[in-house]
Amino acid sequence: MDVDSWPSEWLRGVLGPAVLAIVSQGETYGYLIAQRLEEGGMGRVKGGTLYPLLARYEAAGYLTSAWHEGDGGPGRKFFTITDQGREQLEIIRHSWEEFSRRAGAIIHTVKERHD
Amino acid sequence: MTDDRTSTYLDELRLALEIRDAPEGAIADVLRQVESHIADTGEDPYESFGSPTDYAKQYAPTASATRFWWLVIASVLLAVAGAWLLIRGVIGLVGDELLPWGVEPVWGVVAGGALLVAWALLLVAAALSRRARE
Repeated sequence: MDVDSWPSEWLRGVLGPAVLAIVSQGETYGYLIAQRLEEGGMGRVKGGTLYPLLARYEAAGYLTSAWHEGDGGPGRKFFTITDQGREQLEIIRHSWEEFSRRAGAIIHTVKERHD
Repeated sequence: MTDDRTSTYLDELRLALEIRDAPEGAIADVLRQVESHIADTGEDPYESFGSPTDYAKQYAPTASATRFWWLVIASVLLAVAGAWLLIRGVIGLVGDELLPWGVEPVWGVVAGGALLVAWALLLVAAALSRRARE
């Protein structure tokens, strides 16, 4: 499957946890997060989707941010995960695994019955 | 460097956020982030972020443009009515003429002045209210 063609409703569900997991690996900024998502096979995530998500997580207390000045440019806004964000990520990881297992079981069971 | 298309996008986005009553600090942050992303990627801002109006809604989803338009409508009505009454009142006083419906010109001056003062107070109140939200 073309990595740029995942259904948008799938991406809506997975993007938040994926972004939180990427930021949990160390301080980073929007463009690098988008690159990591693309390298991970999630396709190209547009700035118009990514930055509002980061802002929501920041407002929720999962992330903090700080602007680092650039050489004559606008600089970059770096994001860091908070303790609350790490706790949330752990909850998401656990429930995602369970959700994925159950969804996979249903999808594959239905497929096998038709085969 | 910010090219013309990015500058236009940033101007439109600022206006869209201001109309939606977003705080000044948040507006500056959103604009800088768009500029930063475009500087990193070289992408077209309209392509990456969508229309400025739609993008602004993501940051100020509950704020409504209603307050802005009420302020515009009230300003136009108060300013036009106030200036008209004041000018007609002064002309009436100088020329010793009554206003329409036989109203004494001094009342035109008083009413016109009151409406202009009300307009000024409305603008001050709107500015203070905006500052309080920032």
